Amino acid sequence: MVAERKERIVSIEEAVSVIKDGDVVGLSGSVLFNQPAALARAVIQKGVKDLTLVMLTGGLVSDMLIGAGCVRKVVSTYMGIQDYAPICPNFQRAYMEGKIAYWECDFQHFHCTIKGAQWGMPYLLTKAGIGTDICRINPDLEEVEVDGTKWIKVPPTPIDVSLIYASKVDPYGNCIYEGSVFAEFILANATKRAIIVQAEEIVPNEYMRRDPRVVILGGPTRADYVVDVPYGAHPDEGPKYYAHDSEHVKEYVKAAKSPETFKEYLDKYVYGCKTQAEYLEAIGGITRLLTLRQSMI
Amino acid sequence: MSKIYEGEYTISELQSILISRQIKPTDNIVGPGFYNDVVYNGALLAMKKHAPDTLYLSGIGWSSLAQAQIPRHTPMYIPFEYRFMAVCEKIIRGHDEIQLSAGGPRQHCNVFFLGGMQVDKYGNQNISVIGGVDKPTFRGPGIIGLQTFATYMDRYYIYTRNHDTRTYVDEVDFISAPGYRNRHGDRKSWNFEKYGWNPNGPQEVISPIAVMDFEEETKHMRLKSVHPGHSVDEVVEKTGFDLIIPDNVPFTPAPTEEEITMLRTQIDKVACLERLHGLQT
Repeated sequence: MVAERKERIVSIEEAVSVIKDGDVVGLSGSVLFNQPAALARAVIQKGVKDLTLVMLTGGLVSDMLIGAGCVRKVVSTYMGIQDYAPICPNFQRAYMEGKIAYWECDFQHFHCTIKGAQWGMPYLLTKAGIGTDICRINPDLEEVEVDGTKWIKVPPTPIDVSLIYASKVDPYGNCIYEGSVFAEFILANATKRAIIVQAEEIVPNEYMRRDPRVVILGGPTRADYVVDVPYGAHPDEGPKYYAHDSEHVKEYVKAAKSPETFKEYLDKYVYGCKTQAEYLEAIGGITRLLTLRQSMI
Repeated sequence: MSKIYEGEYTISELQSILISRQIKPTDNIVGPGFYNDVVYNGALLAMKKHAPDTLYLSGIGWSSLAQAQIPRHTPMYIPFEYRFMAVCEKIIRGHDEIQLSAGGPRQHCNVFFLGGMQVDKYGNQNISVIGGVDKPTFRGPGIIGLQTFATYMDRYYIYTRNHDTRTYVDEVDFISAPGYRNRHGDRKSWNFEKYGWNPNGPQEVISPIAVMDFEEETKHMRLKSVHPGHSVDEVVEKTGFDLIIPDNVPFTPAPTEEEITMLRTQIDKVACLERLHGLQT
């Protein structure tokens, strides 16, 4: 009798229950791709507060978390929704009202701050930002002189929990991406408490072993919690599975223009949908989903 | 040489063509804007027309666009689209590959086209906050990789969708990306070259009404040419600082028949350059 390996599949509620008020939360994806939309909706339903969001480039899902009042600080290089909204509406309003802080950075600083957290470094140095005002907007960045020349000193950002979208995951948390990969790997490596993965489908472990070359998250970065959420990136693109929902994104951007209309959006699509099935019905059901799927060709 | 195109064209088409003319056959790689139809179409035009060995880096992978069969119904300027993978020859596996080579021995991109909410007389750009950090009046989207790109590209170009005194200012409210000089010093004092970062600043500025470059000595922005249908006076009036105006300012060479035909029939199949023009003032 061989001992049995423990599966990591849980319900979405169980997965997000590990997130606490004030946590530093890494988000996968970018702008309209690979963002963990279903996990974010579960976080909003749970009513978590004062999160610090960490993502390479923010987008609709990070903006939704801000609009729902879950966020105190944003660490990112960019906050926009393509041509739908060059600047994320809830983000922009919350920033101007002083409700959130924005640790705005360049790709290099993002890399340094995440890698510094993974490696346990007190800081990493980069040349990016020399000759700019980056230290004025982020007072914890510092210009230092090493070797007779100036560098930007970037402190680490350790992450408590990462919410990550993947195309396929096995019951033990190994992940495959069919399309774009953003900062998932480096975020997962810097995550202390829990890596939560939502995927389009759960596949057997044999699927990974058939071609382990294509597995992106695995080993130390395999998911601690695995959640099965088909169409879970909607309204983002789920690479290979479905295109982003441009009609819904337009509806979102319109709603996000004022707190009142955005509350209606949240009532309809987040608080009003207890399950992923209810959410998919609300956004247009099977007809809409097939249209998005067929747009992939 | 192809004949000058006699018909009408949009500003976005002209800007795309001006961008394509800046891409040399010897350029290794052209990076896109974050999502940028004008730059994307310009790069594609160059690769199909005269730079077939040049590679294009989108958010998802490396692509030789000269040979690419563009899918039938997608605006291809969205750099992370799964559909873009169809034209890639090497996929990027995450953030490590996007920027770790900055300053390294293997050049990542050597040409880039940047935009910004504000541009000043020394080529500094602001895409962060109008009004400055302490009293922001408008919050921009963020720096993205502008500091990296403005620091290690061989050549970079600034491209704007507007030309007015709000965009072209004497001094930017916030320095998101460095030009040639500003209150923190100049490119020489920043020692980029010593560590393999390229010392070059912006080469040219491509606006909807004119092309500017930078005077060799002072690195102050200078009018280079005015687009057909516009005048030097108009450029001066719409610029928020004193441009250097040479004695003779030529018109920007108009699109050729070959450029327009290629752009419309082989490249901009979804006509985004025409639609965009409708949004412009």
